[in-house]
Amino acid sequence: MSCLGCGGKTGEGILLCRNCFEMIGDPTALMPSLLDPTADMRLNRLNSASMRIGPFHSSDVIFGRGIDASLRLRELIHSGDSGELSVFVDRYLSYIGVDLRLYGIERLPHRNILLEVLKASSKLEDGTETGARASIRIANVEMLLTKEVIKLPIDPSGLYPFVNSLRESAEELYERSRSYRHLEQIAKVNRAAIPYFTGEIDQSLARLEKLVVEEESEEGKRHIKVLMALALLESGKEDMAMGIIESLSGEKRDWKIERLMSLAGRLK
Amino acid sequence: MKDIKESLEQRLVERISEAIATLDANGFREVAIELLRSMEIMVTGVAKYDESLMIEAEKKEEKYLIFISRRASDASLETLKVIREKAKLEERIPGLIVFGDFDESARKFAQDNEIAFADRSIFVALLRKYGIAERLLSEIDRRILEREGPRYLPSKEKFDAALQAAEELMKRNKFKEALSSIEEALRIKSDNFAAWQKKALALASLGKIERAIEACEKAIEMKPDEAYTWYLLGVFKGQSGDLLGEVHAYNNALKLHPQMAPALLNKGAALYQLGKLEEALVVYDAMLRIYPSHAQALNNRGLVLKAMGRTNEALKSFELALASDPRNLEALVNKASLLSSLAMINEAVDAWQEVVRVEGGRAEFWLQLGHAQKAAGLFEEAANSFNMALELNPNLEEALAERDEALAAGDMIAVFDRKKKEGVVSEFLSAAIILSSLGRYEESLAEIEKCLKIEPRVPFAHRFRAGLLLNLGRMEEALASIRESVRESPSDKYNLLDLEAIVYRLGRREDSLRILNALGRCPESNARQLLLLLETNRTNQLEPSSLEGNGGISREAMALLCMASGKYHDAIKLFEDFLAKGESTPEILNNLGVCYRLIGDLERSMESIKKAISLAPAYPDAWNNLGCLYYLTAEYTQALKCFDEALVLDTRPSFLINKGMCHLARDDLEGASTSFLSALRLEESADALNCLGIVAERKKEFVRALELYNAALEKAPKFHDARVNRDRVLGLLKEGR
Repeated sequence: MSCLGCGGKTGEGILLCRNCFEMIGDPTALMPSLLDPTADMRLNRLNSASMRIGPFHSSDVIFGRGIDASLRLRELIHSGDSGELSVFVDRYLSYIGVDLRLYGIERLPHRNILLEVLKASSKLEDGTETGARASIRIANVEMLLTKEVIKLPIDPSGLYPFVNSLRESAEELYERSRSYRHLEQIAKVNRAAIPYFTGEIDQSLARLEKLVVEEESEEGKRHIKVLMALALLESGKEDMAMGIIESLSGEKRDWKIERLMSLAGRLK
Repeated sequence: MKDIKESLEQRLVERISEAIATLDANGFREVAIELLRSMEIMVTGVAKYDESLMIEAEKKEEKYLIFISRRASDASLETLKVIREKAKLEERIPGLIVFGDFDESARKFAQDNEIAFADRSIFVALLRKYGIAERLLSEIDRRILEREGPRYLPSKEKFDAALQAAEELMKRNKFKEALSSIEEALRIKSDNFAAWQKKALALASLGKIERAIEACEKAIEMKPDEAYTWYLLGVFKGQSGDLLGEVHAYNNALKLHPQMAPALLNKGAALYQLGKLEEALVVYDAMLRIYPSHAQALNNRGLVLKAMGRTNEALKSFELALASDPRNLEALVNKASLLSSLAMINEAVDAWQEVVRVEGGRAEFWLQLGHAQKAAGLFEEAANSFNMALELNPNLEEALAERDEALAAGDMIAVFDRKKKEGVVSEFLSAAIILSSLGRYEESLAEIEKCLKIEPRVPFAHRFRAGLLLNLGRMEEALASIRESVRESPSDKYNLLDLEAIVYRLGRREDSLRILNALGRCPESNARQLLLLLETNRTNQLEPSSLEGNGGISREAMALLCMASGKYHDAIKLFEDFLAKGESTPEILNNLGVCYRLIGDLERSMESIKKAISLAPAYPDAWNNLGCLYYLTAEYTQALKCFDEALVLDTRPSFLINKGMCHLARDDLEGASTSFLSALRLEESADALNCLGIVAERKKEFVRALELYNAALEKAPKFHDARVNRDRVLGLLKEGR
């Protein structure tokens, strides 16, 4: 085969050589994205109120564009204010759809700033709840990226070090939530799903099965069950997945469960 | 009765209108671009529709999105709204040039929304100003005169027109009609070389090779030193089976133009067909000295070497061709065939896989891949490939037999589910994703098309295609593609969210709301719904209960909606919730400060806005709002400093008006006038005009004040303050002051 980037010879089934993969400026572009404008972009166009001194013919307050996210991020990195940086990252990722609980079925809009946000992980505030939340969200994005990139026919000599570095970074970021029990519980489940995202589904299922017994909250149980059902569906164990899905179908339906049922419905 | 000047003027406008209407799509495009260039506007992108163009352009620092249409119905409020939304989305200044007439409401909308627009009369005036109209009219005149025949014009014009028409027809593959035009041209000038050359081409395209050769020879008679005609003669001779004549013709072409690549290529091919392999090799070696990485020459050389039995060299030559052009299908196929014939089984499998990756829509290639896989013992894969061949050509009996044989050899159950095909489909999808990440959208799109050709019902492929089309600015096609995805997978929320995003980009807010209503609850759709309510000013549809279980983005949108609907206490509660959770951002603090101001709590308002500034010192709205608070507490010097700070960060008319009001409060009429005038220069708004009226009135310039108030009321007839001011000044003027 030949590389789509440079035309050079590659191994069996490989469409992108190591060099060309490493030269991709923004690997997050490899993730399937949600088309713009998504809600965060629309909000930013309206979320700054500006007063007017009368008399005027329309409203006394105008809603205009808020601060540009890229500028704000750069400003915060430059100022070294890790507290405010954590608030920014936590809010930004949450607004583009990165929940604290990771499922792997999320789809994010493509943003040039996303890579800069991921790189900011080392500058986040350690030891605060906001810092922990921001860290979990960054780790979640790293795992979503891993899940997608690992499916692509990229030269393993470039792909595996990349995936390993994402995995190690995510593990370390999830670890930052240890001082906050409710966050730690969520991070534990997300961590258990890491092998699922890197293709080692059985390993992940074993961890999740253990966690579902220990988990106390209903929301936490639901999170784990959805992940288990997704992993089972992906590994072709549809009957087992259906068992879990049926146990979830009586519960409060949210978009994740609906998505899961739709995936299962297609497979049935 | 109209005077003669007016009638002539009207006639001229009509003639220019006719000239525009008769232009073909390309002609209209050229005129539009010429007009913008004449206006010193640099065109950076053009999307062509039936009767209109969407143009991205730049002038100095400004970026524009200009819609130019010759359809009168486009001079409408609806079009203005669409262009405004599109431009807003792209952060460009909207502009509209239409060959129609705007009604009053459309004009007002354009003025209120800062949309630069030109209607029929301005369009015509611009065309005249830059001399484009004159050129168009002279072209029309020429055509009219041409129709009238030779008594008005020398035959040259008619000859040129006939030849031009022939060329256009040939471009559209209408060779029969083209031939008629050429004959017409030759009736005017029977000794024209170009006409004979064109005639030869048209005849050849109609399959009349012998007559094409005659026409070619006639052209050569007239101009024997024209290499291209000799080359054409060679091609036609080859098509007629006269290979020696073909070589002779190419030799003559090459004498005149020794580096003519097509002649070299074809000469080698003709010699190859004549069995003169050594001579063919000499030709290709010579050609490669001139063009060392010419993929086709390398490929042809490989074929010659293969025929000479020099297979290793042949293989090398094909590989060199592919190094130069990795997607050269001929070289790929020749390499794969050679490897198969050399029984280099694994290499052949790889090579045929590469062939189907580049061209996956041809059954014969899948068949060959299947043969190679079967030979390599890859029975399952082989059966899959034969199946693909059958999908593409159900009558291919060889594939059917081979597939069953492969299944039997592999001891497999003959069940071919879609998973097999998904393997191929996923390869195209992967290629599309990778190419897109490399920014090669066109190529990525080509991969997706291949995927959809094999499997037209992959929702992800349709969705990905939509994203690519959006990147390429092909909005309507993107919409069609995402609709396909929704059709295939209607329960996928992401499909519907993508559909809504495109509909939103097209400015169809009502459709957006309908889609979001149908979507049911998910954080993204809830947030979009709330923001649409805010955008479309439907604050009465607020349902605070719908916030339950929603993320921060919906809560922030809801707080803005509360503000917009005057529910300041509710908004304050929501903003304070953010702060309590440690989620303070400059915008939230600023908006909270504005809410406090609106319920009269100036102290808290100032505290909150100052916090916003301390978080983001370059936040213009917060500086402006702080200025407004100082104004309210009559601390005008401080207020002016804040407005200046805001203006340094962003020169907005509303900031300038606020600054002017501050000057006014200090009785600094000159300062106020300067600020209001600056605001007016940026935006000709009713507010700025009214403020200037106040200044004029304070200066006792009542007539001027009246003019300004009237101008403000013209822009905003319901502007209460301006009306009161005008009535007061009218009263003063009546009293004779």
